[in-house]
Amino acid sequence: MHGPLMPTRAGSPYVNEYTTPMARRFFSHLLFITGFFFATLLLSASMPERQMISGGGDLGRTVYEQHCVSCHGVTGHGDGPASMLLSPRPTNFILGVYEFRSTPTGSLPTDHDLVRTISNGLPGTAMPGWRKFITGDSLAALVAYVKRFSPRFANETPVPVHIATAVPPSAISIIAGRAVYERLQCAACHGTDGTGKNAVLMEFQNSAGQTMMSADLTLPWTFHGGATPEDIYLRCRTGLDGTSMSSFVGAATEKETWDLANYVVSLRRKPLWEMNAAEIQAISLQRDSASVSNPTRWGRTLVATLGCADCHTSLDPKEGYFDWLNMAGGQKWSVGPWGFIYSANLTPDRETGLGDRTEAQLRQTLTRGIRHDGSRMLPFPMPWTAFAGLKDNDQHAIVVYLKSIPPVSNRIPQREPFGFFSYLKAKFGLLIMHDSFALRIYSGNAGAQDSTGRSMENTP
Amino acid sequence: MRKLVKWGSLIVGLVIVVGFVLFLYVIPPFTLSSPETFSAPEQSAAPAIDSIADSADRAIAERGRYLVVVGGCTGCHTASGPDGAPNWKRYLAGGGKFIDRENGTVYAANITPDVETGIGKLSRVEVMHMLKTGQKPDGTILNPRAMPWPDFSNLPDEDLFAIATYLHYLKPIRSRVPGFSAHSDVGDPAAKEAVDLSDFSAHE
Repeated sequence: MHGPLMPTRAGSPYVNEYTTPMARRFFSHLLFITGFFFATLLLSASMPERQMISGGGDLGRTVYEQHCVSCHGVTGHGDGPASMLLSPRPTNFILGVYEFRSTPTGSLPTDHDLVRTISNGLPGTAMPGWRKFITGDSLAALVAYVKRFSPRFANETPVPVHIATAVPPSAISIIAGRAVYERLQCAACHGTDGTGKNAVLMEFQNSAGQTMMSADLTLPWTFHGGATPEDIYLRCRTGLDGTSMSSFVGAATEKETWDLANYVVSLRRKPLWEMNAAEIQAISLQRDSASVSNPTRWGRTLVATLGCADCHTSLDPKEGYFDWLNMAGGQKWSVGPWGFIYSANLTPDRETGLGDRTEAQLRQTLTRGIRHDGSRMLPFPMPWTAFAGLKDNDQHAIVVYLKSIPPVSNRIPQREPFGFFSYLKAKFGLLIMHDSFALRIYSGNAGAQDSTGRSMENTP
Repeated sequence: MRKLVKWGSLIVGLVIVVGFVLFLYVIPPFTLSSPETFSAPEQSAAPAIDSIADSADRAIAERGRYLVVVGGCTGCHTASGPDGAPNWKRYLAGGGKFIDRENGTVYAANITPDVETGIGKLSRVEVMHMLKTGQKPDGTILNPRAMPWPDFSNLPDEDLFAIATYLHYLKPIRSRVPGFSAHSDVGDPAAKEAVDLSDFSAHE
């Protein structure tokens, strides 16, 4: 048993004193290749999704990573850095559920549907049109790449619904469409006049758990799936998968659906940019009275717009925010020489949030930077100097909305001043040396996730 | 006599040093001035809309002014002067710096309608579109952590148009803001992002 391949030295099993340099090189190559093979095997086993969507020389992937990742995320889960604050959230491609299709409820979209959505964008949402930037081969490759995120596309072949010959938008068709609108009880969600007036229910939870509003049918420039009669026809025939808008394919004939589409088109009101001064005044009054009659709804928009969650939700060290700590504070900042501060828990939790604050106290904090205990805030980074200008009804809407969100227990630590000497040194730099005034933002939740002090790291 | 001078100068020196330290410690005394000392200048810095001749645009810009003020655009888009306070004479002329550990450094844009250095070349619809989708006219997407467009995306399109209209009627200010740089040192290894509101723009 003393063959050329028997190891004679411990620790180097493949180097044999009998082997020639040539053979040695061969064995080391063999080892390298085997190692590479197993490494690849291991990698592909541990990251099946990643492997599946990364083909060689993939144009689709390049285009996707160049344009789509800030919202839809690298892995296609709709969780990019811009996603959390968007309403509606970006589409999660893994689920393979698409709202805007030419195919029956529950089906996948056709390639043409995807091309349309990418090129035109979704008006009224943050999805821009890419017509000018993604065309030809890049567009086709991108569609193919997006489809690869969901295994559904490999197994199903979507077939478009039948589109009957269009009915011209005559007065007769519009009157007939109005009757269809009443018969199908569109008013239950969209209101008797399309704006939600007398609607039974206008707020829905979407698949991401967000509160969404039924569409205002008088504002066609905000119709996500487009505003032509054919677009509206298709929405009625196919439904919006993942939302509360279902298909009415069994409840109305094709002709009736065209009439309905013509009626919806006729509901359009002028957009602001086509109005004269008197019309603008009228619409402003209408908007203000709507915010008074439904402060929660307007408060939700205001709180989202003013970006309260930007600072009052803690940051995931990898990317984005900690979803389940929405508005529960705990983001850590360092503010010039003044030390570390932690954003407050804005949820109505009684122990750790705003639960026991009165509206008057909250308004003082919001617009004058005076905390509930009478102490004062610096004029930054909490922008109360800007919020000082908020109208009364807007302040009220914000407070009402904050009181309505789900409470999350997250006890926030006290402000942490720097030590005496580092404070003085930083102050000297700021005031005398005119050092740049820097705010720094840290990721992670500084608050205790719940009142028992359980740290966030231990929770999913 | 000499002893007196010696002790006297020692005491004066000590008073100066202690005084300086105390001065450093308490200045600026935020809590001694009313909250309005800080908010009033910011509220009045936004130029009035009276000079807009077109009555419809004036009505739209009124809404835009309100949203620009309470939305705190000036928090980033008006850089600080040498005294550390926002330089209101250069309202919305840009210059502050946002450093993102992963994505490099961006400077708050000049959003006055100056044709060369501001947003004068963009139509109001293009500005509205940028606020809604973060998509710049060249197709790239604005860094959502630096410019919080995902927040503004929640506003109705008409309100965004009102913001664009107000900006459209601002007095153009020439102020060239540096472009993107790959520099991503936030000055503290533990920090993720940093904001520096000193004026980095070239005043022309």
